[in-house]
Amino acid sequence: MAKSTRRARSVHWGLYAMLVPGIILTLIYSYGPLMGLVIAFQKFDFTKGLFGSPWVGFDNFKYIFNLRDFRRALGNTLSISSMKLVFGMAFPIVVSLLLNEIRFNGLKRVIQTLIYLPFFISWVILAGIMGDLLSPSTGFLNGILKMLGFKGVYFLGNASVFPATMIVLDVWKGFGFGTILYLAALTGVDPSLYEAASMDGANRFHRMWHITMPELVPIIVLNGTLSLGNILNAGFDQITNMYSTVVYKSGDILDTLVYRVGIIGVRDSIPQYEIATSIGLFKSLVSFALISASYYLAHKFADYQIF
Amino acid sequence: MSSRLKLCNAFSKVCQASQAVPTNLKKRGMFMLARSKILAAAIAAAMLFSSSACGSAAPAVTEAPETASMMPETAAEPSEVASEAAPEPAYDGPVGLSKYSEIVRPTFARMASLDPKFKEGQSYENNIWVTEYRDVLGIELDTIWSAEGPDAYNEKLQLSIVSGDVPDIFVCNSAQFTSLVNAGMLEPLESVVEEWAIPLVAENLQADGGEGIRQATIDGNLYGLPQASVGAGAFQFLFMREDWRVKLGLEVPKTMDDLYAVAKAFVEQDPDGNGIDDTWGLGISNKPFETFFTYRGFFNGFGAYMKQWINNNGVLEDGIIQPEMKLALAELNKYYEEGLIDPEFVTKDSMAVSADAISGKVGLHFGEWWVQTWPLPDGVKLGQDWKAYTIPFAASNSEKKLGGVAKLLGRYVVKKGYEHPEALVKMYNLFQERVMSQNYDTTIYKGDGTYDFQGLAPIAPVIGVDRNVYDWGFVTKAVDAKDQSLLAPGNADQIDKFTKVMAYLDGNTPFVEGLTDEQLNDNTDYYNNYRVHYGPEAIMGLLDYYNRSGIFKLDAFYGPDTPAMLDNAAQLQSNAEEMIINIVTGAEDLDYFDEFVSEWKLNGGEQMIKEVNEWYNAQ
Repeated sequence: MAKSTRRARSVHWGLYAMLVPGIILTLIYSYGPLMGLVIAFQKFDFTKGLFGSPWVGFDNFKYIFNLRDFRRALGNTLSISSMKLVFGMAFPIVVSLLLNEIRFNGLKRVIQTLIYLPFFISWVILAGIMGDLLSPSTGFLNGILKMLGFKGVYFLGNASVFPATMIVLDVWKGFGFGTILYLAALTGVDPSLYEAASMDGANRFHRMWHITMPELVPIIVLNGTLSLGNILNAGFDQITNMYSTVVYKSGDILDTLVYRVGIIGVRDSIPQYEIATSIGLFKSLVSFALISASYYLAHKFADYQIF
Repeated sequence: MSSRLKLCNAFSKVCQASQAVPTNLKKRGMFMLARSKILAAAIAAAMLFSSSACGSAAPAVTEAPETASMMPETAAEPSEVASEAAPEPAYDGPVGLSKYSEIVRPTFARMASLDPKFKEGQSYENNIWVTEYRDVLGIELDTIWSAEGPDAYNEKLQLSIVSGDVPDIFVCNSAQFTSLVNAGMLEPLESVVEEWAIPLVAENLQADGGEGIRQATIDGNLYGLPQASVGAGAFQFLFMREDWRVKLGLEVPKTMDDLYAVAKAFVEQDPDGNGIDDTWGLGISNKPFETFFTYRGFFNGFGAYMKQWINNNGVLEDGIIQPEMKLALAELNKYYEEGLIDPEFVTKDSMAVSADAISGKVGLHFGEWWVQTWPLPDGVKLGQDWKAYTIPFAASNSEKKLGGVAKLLGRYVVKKGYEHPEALVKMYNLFQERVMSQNYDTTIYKGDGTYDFQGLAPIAPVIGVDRNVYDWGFVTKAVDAKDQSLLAPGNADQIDKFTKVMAYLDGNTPFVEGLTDEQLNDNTDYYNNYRVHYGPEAIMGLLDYYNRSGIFKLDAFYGPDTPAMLDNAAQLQSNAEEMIINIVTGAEDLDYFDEFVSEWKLNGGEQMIKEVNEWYNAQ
């Protein structure tokens, strides 16, 4: 055993060597910048630098927790991302169950490809398209709504519908990808189970409910628990491209707040770096805790482990 | 079972990958910067256009100074034109333009243009300024780094400052300046300027009442030279679709009530005559603090001032929290409720509203003078006649003042301990001498649309009287008399403007059918010169009226950023924007303003007021 391991090592030394640049880059770009986190505990002064700036303990955290905008953004983040999580999981499951029932393979593939397409379009481009499509005056969708006798809806400019719009768009963009995952899982289901069930008189619905669903449960649980770690990421790419001042109330999330206040700053003035860092660190800590918890849950319920 | 688990593992890895993809803050940040760079470039282009097409020597750069005015260069290649080789003839010009006996090589950081315009075959390393610096002054700049555009430049300079490794001569913004002085990194310049500045520079530094100099002074020591005169050109005008106004037979609005009536007519009386209800009265963007399609002129009409401090009987207060703001917001809310503003303005930034305006949907908007030269000409080419007016004032506003920036943005500075601080003053002199004085050879020292003579100068101070207004007087007189000899002698800018205005008056207008593209471009250029440079109703005429009538109410605070500003300004500005938009759209009622004010004070505003008044009382 030991011998074979040694041989494996000597055989694969080339592969190990190829790892080195990746590891070095990871150290430089992923671990090196962690040093910058000290800013969160400083009153950062760029003339004094990372280590010369005065320490202020937890003052920056006190500041952000007292900030109305932070509390609001935290609430928005949680609600938007938890809804995205729930619908982003449920929808692909339903769609993949339905697709799985289509026996005509060509149609199935066409549908799969079509719903997968939006996944590849970046939010920057989608934001432009959606801005036109969802416009209350000239937008296609509102045109239909008005034709049917409804009042137009300002999807991107009305604080009470903005989060729902974000959730729907996010689910729409991502469900093709999720569907493929679940469909792939379904191909692993032993066909003899279905055959046996039909022999016993189960109709399609019965088979879906009693065979397909249980077969899917492990991956559903896995997917769900692993998503928990991302609960504080409500989709910066999407929201920063679509939100505007009027929807801050319900659509401003932690990442957009950090970006607006901590990174862009005001013209001709210095951005609030330490505040941005504090919020970032806070997010990382919460995410870390959640990832640990979800890893434990994944292990417990889906028998999944990395380490 | 085991095969299924394997499958599960594989999928879960894909899941993880998919979950890990989305947020990449930093990348997005870069992208947004790139976007704002595009805007900056557009504005810079506008500046260049205006300074070439209209031939102005002093574009109004207060709002976007870094973009247009200082794109440095280098003289990296050592020159054999060394001075000690041959004895120089005795120099009898001013001492401020004398040549070093031995070439001096200060290190320098260049803010390169996003869209540099060189003469054929030239570059930053090889152009007229490099030769002039070397042959006239005996200076060769050693560019140790360069960055494209103000955003990249500021970022890089920030890094230089943090690492304590700044160039000998460079330009910095207001906040950086304060930090640099506090860190003791800058050379005091007062005696150097006194000794070396040529009379023209000394005079032009006083053109803004010495404001620029005052703001480059900290604790009684002068540490920098202003990049531009304070306040120049950043005043508001009302832009109106003149063709619509004439067609509907409306009076020019003098009061805010008139403005409301005009806006209403522009919406309800189908000014474009297409039978469809598709026009808006007032064009505003969803970013109240942006510089075009802005709220500032409207606010000023009600005696409300944003982004500036006002002096209230000896106490300085931030304009954004004054009660007059409520009047202006209530009126804007009325516009919104009655459909005089595009109900979708909340999702449109300045660029988007400007696209609407150019496509003929907007009748009125507020902005600075350069809006007439960009972006409106695109609309002119489509047959729109845009004309600027002085801003109307509300009946409730007895003061009738125009707000204005009084803050010096860029400063040229010298690193502490550099042995030739006078080199900066000499280069500063040379630019002024070549560009601002009347006795230069315009065949050499002049740019056009393809060649940016001023912008290529490493040190390009735009100080002194507004050359546009100065030229306007001559051009108007000459055009009225149809006599070119009334222009200032040898002034190519004025000849250019005169010729173009005359061409327009001879009937070369962009508003006729059947023009070729080239003719349309030319005629639009003629028309622009007419709108900007001729007669009391041209923008420069209005600016002259503004200047003479003492209508300005400048920012009362022009000191260095206070600690509370550095800490809270970004947050407070975001809150102010939100308050304005929410009240205008009726998402919050007017009383929300009071709530905003108390929040504003709590979140650092009170401290800002305290610090600003401490500064004021120390003046």
